[in-house]
Parts: sequence; structure tokens; C-alpha cells
Amino acid sequence: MLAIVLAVTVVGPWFAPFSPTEQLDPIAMASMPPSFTHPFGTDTFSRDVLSRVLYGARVSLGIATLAVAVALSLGTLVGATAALVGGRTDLLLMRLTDTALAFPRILLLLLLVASTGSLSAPTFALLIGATGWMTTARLVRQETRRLLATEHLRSARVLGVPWPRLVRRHLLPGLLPTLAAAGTIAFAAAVPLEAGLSFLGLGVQPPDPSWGNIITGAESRVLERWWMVLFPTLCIVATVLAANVVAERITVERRRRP
Amino acid sequence: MSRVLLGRLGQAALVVVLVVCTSFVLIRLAPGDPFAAIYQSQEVPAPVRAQLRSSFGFDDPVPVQFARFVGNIARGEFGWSVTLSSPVSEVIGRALPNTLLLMGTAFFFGLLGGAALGAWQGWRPRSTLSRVTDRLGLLVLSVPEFVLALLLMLGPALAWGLFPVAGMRQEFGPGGFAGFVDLLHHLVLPAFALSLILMAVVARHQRAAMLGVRDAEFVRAARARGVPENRVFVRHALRNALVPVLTLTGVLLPALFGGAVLVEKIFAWPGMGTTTVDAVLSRDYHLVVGCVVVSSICVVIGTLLADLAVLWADPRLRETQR
Amino acid sequence: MRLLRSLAVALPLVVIACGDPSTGGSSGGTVIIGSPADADALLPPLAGTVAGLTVSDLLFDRLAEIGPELNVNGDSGFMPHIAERWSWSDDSLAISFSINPDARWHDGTPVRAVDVVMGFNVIRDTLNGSQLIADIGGVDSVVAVDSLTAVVHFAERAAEQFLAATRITPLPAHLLRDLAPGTLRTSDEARAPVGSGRFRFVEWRPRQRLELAAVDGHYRGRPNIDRVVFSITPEPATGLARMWAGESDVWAPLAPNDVPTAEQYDHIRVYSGPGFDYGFLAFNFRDRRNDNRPHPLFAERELRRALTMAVDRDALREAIFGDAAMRSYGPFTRPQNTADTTITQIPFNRTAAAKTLDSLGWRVGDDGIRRRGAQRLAFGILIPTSSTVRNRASVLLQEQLRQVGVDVTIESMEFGAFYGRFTAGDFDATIGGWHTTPSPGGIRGTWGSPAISRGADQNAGHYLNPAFDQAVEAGLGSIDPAQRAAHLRRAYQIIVDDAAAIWLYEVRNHAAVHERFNIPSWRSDAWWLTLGDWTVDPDKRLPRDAAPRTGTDADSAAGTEAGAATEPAP
Repeated sequence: MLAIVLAVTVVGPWFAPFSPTEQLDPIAMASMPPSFTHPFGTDTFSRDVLSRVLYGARVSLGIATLAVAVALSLGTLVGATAALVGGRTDLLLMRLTDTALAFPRILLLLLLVASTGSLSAPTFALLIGATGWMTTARLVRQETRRLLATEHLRSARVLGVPWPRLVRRHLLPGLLPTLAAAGTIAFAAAVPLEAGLSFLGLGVQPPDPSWGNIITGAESRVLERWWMVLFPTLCIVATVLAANVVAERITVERRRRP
Repeated sequence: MSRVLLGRLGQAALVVVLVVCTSFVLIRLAPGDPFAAIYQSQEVPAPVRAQLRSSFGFDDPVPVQFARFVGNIARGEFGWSVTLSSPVSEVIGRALPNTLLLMGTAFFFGLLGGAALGAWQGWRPRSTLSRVTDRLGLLVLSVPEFVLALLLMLGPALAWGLFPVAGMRQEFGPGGFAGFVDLLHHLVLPAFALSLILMAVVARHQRAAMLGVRDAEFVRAARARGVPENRVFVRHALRNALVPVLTLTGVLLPALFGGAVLVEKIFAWPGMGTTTVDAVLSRDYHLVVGCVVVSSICVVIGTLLADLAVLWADPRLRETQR
Repeated sequence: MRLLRSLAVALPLVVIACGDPSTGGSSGGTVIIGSPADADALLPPLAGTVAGLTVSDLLFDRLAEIGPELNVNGDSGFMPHIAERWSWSDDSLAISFSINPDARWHDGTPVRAVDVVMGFNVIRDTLNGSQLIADIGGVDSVVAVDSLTAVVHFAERAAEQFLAATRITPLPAHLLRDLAPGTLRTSDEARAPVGSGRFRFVEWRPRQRLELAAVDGHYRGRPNIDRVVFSITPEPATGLARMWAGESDVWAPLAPNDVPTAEQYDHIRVYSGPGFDYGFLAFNFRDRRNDNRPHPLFAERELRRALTMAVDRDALREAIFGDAAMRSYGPFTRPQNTADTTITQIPFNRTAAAKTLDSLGWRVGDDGIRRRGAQRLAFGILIPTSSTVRNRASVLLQEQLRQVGVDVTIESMEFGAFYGRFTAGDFDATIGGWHTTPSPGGIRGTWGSPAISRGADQNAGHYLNPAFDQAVEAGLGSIDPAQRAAHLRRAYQIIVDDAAAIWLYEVRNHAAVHERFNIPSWRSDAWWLTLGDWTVDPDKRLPRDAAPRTGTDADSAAGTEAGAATEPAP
């Protein structure tokens, strides 16, 4: 399934029947429901939604993947360090996490967009990730502490297993289920988040398509213009389901070999 | 224990101060003007604007403004919302109970439902129902929040007439007990939308945690001792698997506080989420800071409670605490 | 035309409403207004947003109100409100207003001439930051000659002298007198105002609801409507759904795209009228980084004209609004008496535009974008994300201009950041919209040079043409309507020929109202001004229409059976 999603993402644009930004006829062809020539209908600018979905896949999936990767790595780093080192470091890192958590994300993003104008997609993804790691950090810290308390890891420590090995062979596999769950949730949330932040002027700029801005392009008329909402949403669902399968598989496999 | 708690409270206060200070400075650095929305289409001479800004002290250096803010806070004053012509304390005083009601309800059902569902999914991962509900959870997570909320509003409320479309109370509706029922009636859809999302998130984590402990030594040991399956599930597995979810709760509390913006907006539920965002967008300096004070206090309380709950659920962690 | 027809229908209703004073004049009725934003302030000199203006207009009466034909020249058509009559001095430099002796503040105190002076002082005191200060610029002083006579003195004669005088809303001097300077905005009197209008203040829950109630024994007659509630509904989709479900009674303005949907519902009536907003793409004449340098592209008149020629404004307008908007002919709107739709336009002609661009040295490069030497024909359009219309217009423009080899970047940002850049002149071009009033005077600030703008800094693109300034001044300075129109026509033609902006559209006003209300006349400029005259037929009343205070048996009986009307229409 993931293979299909990836394939569509990579080669999809070549199969797109139209240019994603071409306005075919903004008066006569705008907001047309699905038809033979336009299987996904057209948007309010008379652009072919199928083509936009195909082109939007790259940027949407790219942003989501990068953002999740950043958030998970940062969160794991902070959480695991706090739990492993303990003491004052733990305290400091956790209060840092609380601070980041309590800080309104919108304020920070606002300042960034104001000072830089628009951001490139990768920078934007980094930004989403860098402001969304806190949940993972707290979960990872808790889970690490739980793992450290298990017989298995205690004995490993007593036996003098070196740190890198301890982390790689014993800790990370134990953290995988948590990370998989957090990652899946964050991944699913990233696409709408990208569209949601466009009201700040962040995210994918017009006329370029993203799954998120195709949905918001329906301008809240989710029933009247259902095709602009349904098809991109289905794409998100398919991707998330596919990503979930992969996450499950990794988790299961890791658990099998201790 | 009380000393530890006291220390934690001190740290929590520090976090609040840090967040409030940073926000105080950042919102003033952001371009824009608290009076921009008021004057965008009016011919107001620049000197008048300047005078207006100065009458609220917005043109003083930020440190001076901050000193004044601290003085006001010490007197229990949060300042003045220029976009609503109201004291900040009143704006927040109106919004906070609404948020607590909505969040409390959503949290109650979302957490309980999610924890129960996830625990069961993790305990019986191969059953069809478990798989189906798991995929449904992913579906809920994948549908953008505002689409979910809009669908609930347009379907059950508008098309089928089962619920009021939006707001908290029917205008000039009944009072007393009937009024309370009316309030609950308005609460159903927004609370349902939020709890559904919450449930999906919590269930995912609970399921993962449950899968983690299902085959752990102590569970196997309990089984080997002949403890009945139900008892193993509740006493041994569930209690341990609750730890991540309790941690999550502490984190979700603030997320919901701010993250309910779209649900609040679509159901015209006048809560803290939309208040904060609108204040930031309209550069209503005092209101922004007031909102941040309240929300950051909620965040630190949330994480503090979560930490305590984790200690309760997993006694072994108490040893490592020292 | 619509206005006239509605007026004809209205006459009998007005008679009925006035002919039943024995029961306090109440026909019952509660109007719930779905409002996307809360009021920013409730006192007329302090309110700036539409919501604030609406509420303050209901709470406070002016000395006189602009008549339905929207004349602002002299005093013809003005309807007496707090001033029952007025007279001009021989040199026309003073207007003496006689206050209606029956006018009362909502606390029972009679309205007196000192209240007019108070109204003037509040606007004039810059500590209050009133946005009306520009409107009353010509007023020299206000004097209370006796308790019921206030005289407004002017420095010089002007066509809109009378309008300026009526922008001074009397304020309750007996309550505001003792306030320390600069404390009005944060005073209790500003939050729970005691007004003079046909509705009085009841309750304000910020961001949730604001309630007003009818004033018994008002000098203009008790309103037929008992209660008015502003119910804050930030999301337009929700605001509409509440209308469809019968939860609220008014949604205004109704977006043009929502008109067809509204018309599908039997219990909704759509009111339309001429609009006061026009939209445009304004060019920046100065470099966005340095105000002292000309803009690298748009300082060139021929380029601006070529770009205007390249834009199919009719297609753009229709794509956004369908037939709900009209062609814009320049910096004015049709309801203004000086509007002129015969101004010669730069016609749409893509071929001619391309030819002009070629002749200016802009050659199409390999990427389809024109270049002149090292310079690409590329620029940014600044828009606020909050505006759906401007977002749409920008994408349509981007595509239309691409077809002649222009590379447009859309710089959309949230309103505060947009506003910051706009006022700083940090943009190449911006899609803007100005809200006009019946007076054409706003053009000074929106398109005039600093020399004539009187401190308003809205001409952020720095359009500057002395000939235009001179024509505007001559127009606004002349008292004779024909001369005034002639001068302004000259000004309009100059700015259109200069292509200071691409004039995109002029939007019609729409509003959705529950059908149970009989509305004697609909004012497109300020629909709420006639709210007190609305009535509800007894057999159409909803439960909420029965007023608890003055409700009779007939009221409540009618209420219960009409409950079915709240059922949503299919």
C-alpha cells in the first residue's frame, strides 16, 4: 500500500491530465463536480483537482514526513537524554519542554512569517517539527524510565553493556511502539496543519497545490463542493493507513528479535 | 514528598514566568498595531493614532511596559483589551468557564473512551473488531478537524435538526433546569467532535502501551501463577500500560486548550482558544498576555498532575526519582 | 430602484405601527443578528468596526440623519432626529440646531445643548483617539446658546458642512463631565452606555452576545421590535447555518456566492442594494525598500497601462462574484452622488498589452517571462489571508498576467503583518478595497498626496499627481453640485488614465433576513438604521418574539404555534 502511495507521489505528476495551475475557464468551468474529463472535479478556479492532488502529493507528503521526522528525533533526543542522565539535566529539559508546551505556537510562527515573509517548504516543515516535539519528549522520557526499571535493562546495565549499544539494542526497540503511535498521529495531523497555517501566510503559496490547500479551497462548503474535500482527504487516509502498516511491521519485527 | 511537590510547584511558577515574559516581548515585536483593525478604513490622522497608542502606553520602551505590567499584575489587574473595550479579566473570566466545560466534557469521554478502547485493542490485537476500530481511529485522525466539525454541524444539527447549530444557549430560552438541559444540548456536538479526536489519539497510545506490556515478564508471571485473565488484565497489564496515557494527558491538556480553536470557532463556542488566537491576530497586547498567563498555568498544572498520576500508577518509578 | 419600490410598500405598515400607541407601540419581535465579530466599542466617537458602528448607531441618535437618497450636499434630505429643526446663519458659517424637547437619555435625563458640546469635545480631544476627527475637520466650535439650542460654527463654507455637523453625536454630558481626560475609553460609561437612540443597552458579554432593548416613550416612537441581540458567530459557514436553521434572524453582509443558497430557503429573504466597497490592484510608485527611490517597474506609466490592458476585469469579476458585482470605473462607488460611469477606461486587450510590453523593451524569455536586460518582469501582490475575495482575485490575476509573460508572486499574510507592510509601503502591488461613504471626500486620504490627505496615510502606494490633487481639491471645495461633479470627474479621469491601480470590482450589498419581519425600507448603506421600524405579523411570531415585559396574551398564544417555523427548511 505504501508502495502505491509512493509510486503515485513520484510518478503521479506525469499522469496528471492537466497542469495543476492552469485555469481552464474560471467562469464556466469553476467548481464542477466530478465528470469523465475531470474525475475529481474542478476547484473554484476551474483547475483540475485530480492534477492538483497528484502534484500536491509530493509537497504534502514531503512536508509531513520531514516535520514528523524532526519532531520525533528532537523529542526522542530530549526525552531519552532527560531520562538517561537524570538529575538536574532531567529537571532542566523537562521544564524546557513545559515552557515550549505552554508557549502559544501561533505567536512564534507569526513572528517568523513577519520577519521572513514566506518560507520555503523544507524550512516550513522544519518549523512545524521544531514546534511540535514536546509530546514525544515527555512520552519518551516516561517510557525510557519505565524501560530502565525493567529487569532486562537493569541487568544489561549491571553487566556493563556500553551506552551506545544499550540505547541501540535495548532502549530504542522498547521505545518503538510509542514512537510509532506518536508518529502516525503527527503524520495524520501534518497535512491539515499545513493548510491551517496558511491563514498566517505560511505553507504552500498559491498557485501551487497541496492536499491541504485543496481542502481549504472549498471555503468551508464541505457538502456543496464535496469533491474538493473528499478526494484529498481520502489521499491522507490512504497514506496514513499505509504509514501505519509500515510502523506496525517495524514494531513487530523489532519486538521479535530482542 | 511534600518537599518534592513544593519544589515542583516552584519550577512550575518559573515556567509560567518564563512563558509570560517571552510572549510579552514577542507580541510587541510582531508587526501590526492594536488599533489597525479599527482604523483600517478610516481617515485617522497619524498624530491621533500616535496619541492613542501612547494613552495605552504602547509606545513606551518594552522594559517600561513590562515593569508597568508587573505592577498591575501585583495589584491583580490584567489590563485592558482594546479590541473589545473591556477589562482583560472580564474577557477571560467569561471565556475560561466555557472552555473548562467543553474541555472537561471532551476530556472525560475522550480519555476514558480512548483508554478503554486502546487497552482492549492492545489486549486482543488480532480480533476483527479491534482491527476495525483501530482503522477507524486512523480515519478520524486523518480527517481535518474543521471538516469533521463542519460535517457534524451540517448533518446532525442543520439537516436532521437533532441539535442546535452553534452557540452555548438558545437566545431567550428557558431558565433553571430546562436552561441547563439546553446548555448540554448545545454542548453535545462540539464535545463529541473533540472527544472523538481525543479518543483516537489516546487509544493509539494506549494500544501501543498495552501491546508493550502484554508479553512482559510480570504479566506472564501473573498468568503462570494462575491469576484469572480478567484480573491480569486489570491489575497488572492495565495499570502499567496507563503510564504513557497519563503522561499524554498532561500534554494533551494544553494542546486541547489551544487546539480546540477550530471546533470553538465552528460551533461559536466562546472559549479560550479563539480568544487567544484572535487576540494574537489583532495584536491586542494585554489580552494576549492575559491569555498566556491563564493557559500556561493550566499547562503546568496539567503536567504536574500527570507526573503525580504516573508516580501513583507505577510505584517503581518512585525509586528512580531519588 | 429597489429602494423606491420598498418605500411604496412600506407606507401602510408605518401607519399601522404608529397608530397603536396605547399598548406602548409594541408589536413584539426579537431580532437576533449573527455577527462575525464583536463590537470594538459602543460609543459613536470610539467605535471603528462595522459591528461597533451598528451597535452605537442603535444606541445613539444623531442630530440629523442622512436621508434614504444619500444626499450629503447641504442639508437637503436630512431627517431630523435629536434636532427637530435647524437654521443657517446668513454667512452660512453657523448652523443652529434646536433640540427636540422630548428627547431623553436612557436614564431619563433630558437631552440638552450641552450634550452636543460634549459630543464635539470628545471627538476633538485627541486623547480619545476618535476616528471621527477627520470628518468634523471643518467645525470650528460648538456653543450651547441656551439649553435647547446648540450652534455649530465653521471656519469656511463647504459643500458637506451639514454632514460634518451631524457627525457630532450628542453624548450624555451629565455622565461624562467628570471623567478625567483620556479615561473615556476605559470608563464604565463607554462599556454600558446611556444613549439616546430607540434601543437601550442591556448586557454585553464580550465575544458572546450583546443585548439591546426597546426604549419606551422614545421621542421618535417606541420601536416595534422589543429586543435586539448580536450573537457572535466567527465562522461564516456557521453564521449561515444558523440562519438556515432559524437560530438567527439577520446575516449581513451576505457574501455574493451565498445568495443563491439563501434564496433556496423559504424562511429567508435576501435584501440587496448598491454597495459602498470597491476593490482594486494598486501599484506602488516607490521602491518597496526605499521610499525615496521610484519603483523599479511601476514608476513607468506605460507599463502600468499595459498591465491594466492585460487584465480581463469582467472575467475576473464574474469568476469571483458571478453577477453580484459590477465593473469598477475608478476610485468611487455608484451610490455616491459624484459617481461617474462614463469615465474612459483602459480597455482589455491582451494583444495590444503584449505589443506595448514588447515596445517597452520587455521581451519574452525562455521561461515565458518577459525580461528587459537583466531585469525580469516579476512582482509581488500583497494580500491579507483573511480576505477570501482578495485571495481569489490574486490567483486569477496571477494567471491572467502570466499569459502576457509577467511573473506574479502572491504575498499573502495575516492581517497584522499585511497591515504593517502596507503602511510601510513594503510591497510592489496590493489588492485593496476601500469602503466609501455617501461623501466622496475620502478620496483625499486614499489617493491624494500627503499635501491634501490631512494626515491620513492610506495612499500607501504613493500615487502622486498634482493635477489629480488639484482637481480633487477643486471638486470637494465647490458648493455647487454640478461644479463639484465636473471637477471630480476630471480627477477620476486623471487617475484612471495614470493607471494608478487596476480598478477591479464594485460589490453589491446583500443581507439575509428571516422572512417574518416586515421591513418598511432597506437602507443599503446602513440597514440597521430602520431596525426600529421592523414589524412581525402576529401569526408569524416565534416563541422568542414574545417580549416578557410587555407581552400580552395574544403574544404568547401566537408564539407557541409559530414554533414550527424554526424547523430547518430542506
